[in-house]
Amino acid sequence: MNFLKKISLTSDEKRAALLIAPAVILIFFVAIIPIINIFYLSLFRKVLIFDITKFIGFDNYRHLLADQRFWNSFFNNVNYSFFSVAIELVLGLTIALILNQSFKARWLIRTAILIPWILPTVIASKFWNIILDPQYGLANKILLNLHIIHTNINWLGDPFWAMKCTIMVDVWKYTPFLSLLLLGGLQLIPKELYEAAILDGTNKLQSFKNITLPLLMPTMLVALLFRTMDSFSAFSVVYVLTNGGPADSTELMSLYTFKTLFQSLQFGYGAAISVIIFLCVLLISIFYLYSFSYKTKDVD
Amino acid sequence: MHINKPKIIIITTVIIIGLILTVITAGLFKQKAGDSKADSKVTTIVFAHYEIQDSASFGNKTDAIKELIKKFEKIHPNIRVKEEILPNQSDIQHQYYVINLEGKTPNIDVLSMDVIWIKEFAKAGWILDLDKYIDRKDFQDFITPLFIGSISYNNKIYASPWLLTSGALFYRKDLLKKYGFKAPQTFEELVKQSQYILKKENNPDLYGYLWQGNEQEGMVCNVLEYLYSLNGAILSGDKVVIDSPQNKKALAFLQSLFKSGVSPDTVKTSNLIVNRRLFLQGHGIFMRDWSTSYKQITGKDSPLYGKAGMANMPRFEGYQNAPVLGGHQLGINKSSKHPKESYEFIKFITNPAAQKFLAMNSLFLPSRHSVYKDEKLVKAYPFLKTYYEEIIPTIKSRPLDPYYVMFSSVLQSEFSAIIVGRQSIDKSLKIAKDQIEFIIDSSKEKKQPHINKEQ
Repeated sequence: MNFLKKISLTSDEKRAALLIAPAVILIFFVAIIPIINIFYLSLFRKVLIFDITKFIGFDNYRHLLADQRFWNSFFNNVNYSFFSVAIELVLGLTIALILNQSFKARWLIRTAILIPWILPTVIASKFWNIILDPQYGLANKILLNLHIIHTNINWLGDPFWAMKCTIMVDVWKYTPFLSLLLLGGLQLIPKELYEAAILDGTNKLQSFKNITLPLLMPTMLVALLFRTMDSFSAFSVVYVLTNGGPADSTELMSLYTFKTLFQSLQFGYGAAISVIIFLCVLLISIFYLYSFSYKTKDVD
Repeated sequence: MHINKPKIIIITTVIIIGLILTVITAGLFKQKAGDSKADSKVTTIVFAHYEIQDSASFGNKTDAIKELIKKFEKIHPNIRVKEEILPNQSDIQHQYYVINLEGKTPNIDVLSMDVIWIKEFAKAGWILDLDKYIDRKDFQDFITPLFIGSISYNNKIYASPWLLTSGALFYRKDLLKKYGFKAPQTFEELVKQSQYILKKENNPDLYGYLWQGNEQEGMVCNVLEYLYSLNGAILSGDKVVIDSPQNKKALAFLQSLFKSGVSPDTVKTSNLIVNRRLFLQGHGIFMRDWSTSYKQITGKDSPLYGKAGMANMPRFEGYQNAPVLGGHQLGINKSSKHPKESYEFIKFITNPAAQKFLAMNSLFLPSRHSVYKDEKLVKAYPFLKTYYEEIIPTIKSRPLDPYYVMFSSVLQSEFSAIIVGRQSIDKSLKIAKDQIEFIIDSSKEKKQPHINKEQ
């Protein structure tokens, strides 16, 4: 009790500093130090198992720039993140708007829609693996019976389909997360605004455009930030579904890092790739945070 | 919010008492277990291996390795053997070993290693050099020319040969007989036979030739069999010669299998398990698999019993057969606390009697001359005679280089690009060459920087 009194006597700022100190220390140890460490590692030629450690400066990065497999994984990642996040946003918003209406058994639907997100990613991806199996999969069976396709399609084995399928599984998995966040945002919007709008004689589309969207913007940006960052370092869905195949057409940067580190055991080079992933994620978050502060000021 | 104080106190007490009880009982049990260990001075060694017994097809039989361990423990009452069973996929086993051995775990004693890892593990200093343990005379009984390249490093032996396997072609005897064919000797024949049978059978669910195209180590083995048949190679000494005309020709042949409809598109991503399932259900005429699958595919429990046969991997017309060597050999972890006991176990489980027992009761194929000559065994499995006499002399090793596993990941990626048709052969081989050179250069630099100049 004495301790608390002492604190309350100090200034607000001091108390604030004390309260956030544990979080800052934690972040320093679990995030900042490893990042510095990995950057340091990326300046070395390091093959741990053969006891080779040699400082080579930026040689790893120079090799990276000419490494076609890296660029392939980079553009795969851009493709993957852009389409999965865009589709998730549209679907998530639609679902959130529907769930925000009052109808019978809404609680049931709300729970049901969360199931994909609750399932462990690896297990869910394994299910999809079985569903998309070219010979025995449910997907081909259903589509054949509906006469939409006429021969079995090798969903995960055809470079044309593989990326689309992984994006689809990602969308299936993470749309609930987005719709949940957006639903929270929708419920924060005061009902009075809509009532006033009805009195002013607006139609539904107008009130969506002028009330819902601007007020939902902050939530939407946070959700987008989460998802884009996540998808830029995505691993498990692709690892389980295709392991980067066929012919690296679905290999994302994180998967390439993983293979460099643990299959070809080049620790320095693998570290260089993870530094690039970090930079990408950093740039994305700066971009979002910038537009986030801009938009909120706008709304105010 | 109103807080019910007495309730909270009761709940907390119950939880605390529960925790204390758990800790006490756990402690008691631990002590008990420790006591019994100290009493009898039993050494426990851990044997890490993957399941050589396919549970699907040998489900009703007893586990052969477990039986052998029981026998071993009877002869050596002061040694206990604990199994550590690893997942089936080679790349994943390798990763498991790398993490544990680099971490110097003493918790693995005997390890079963794929032929391609032994040099790497030896160079990394993770496994014991077995020279002082090996009985030279007995060692002659192993089919040494086959293994010596893989199990030795710097003229020392690091593993004892154990399980042998190699690429093999399985074919549908009944279908081939129906159209008057014999098992194909060459790839050209295989293509002709497939096309003919596919046309005559006119069954959309029947495929010509199944092999493993999925981006993993097994696929590299498949591809190497074509390269080697044409005398192609990945390395020649320290030089990377992957972009040779022979290799290009072999890879072009693989691509042509899809164009001519001999191999279905699913092969581009299929692995052993998928292929085996298809073949066993009668959807394939030919399949490339490992010779260790012989019993599973042609045995009494197989749906293709009497209808399927095994032959050597075909060759290109005018060239050599080149099935690739696989299989697991046994070594000892350098950080093991019981190397002597471990070698005792290796000696036991690789001896002729144990190999014969494994060959009778599991998918195991022996690595000893004397076992292949055992009359009883050959009588039970006549194919072992042909395997020993005709196929074994043609087996080729994957590149014998400590860096092989490191650059195999490059091969997986670039060969897959060729098989899927995402990149031209020339471009893929050029990328592969650059990457392999990068790996070899960066790994060799520190140790002997001048070695190339001096030579």
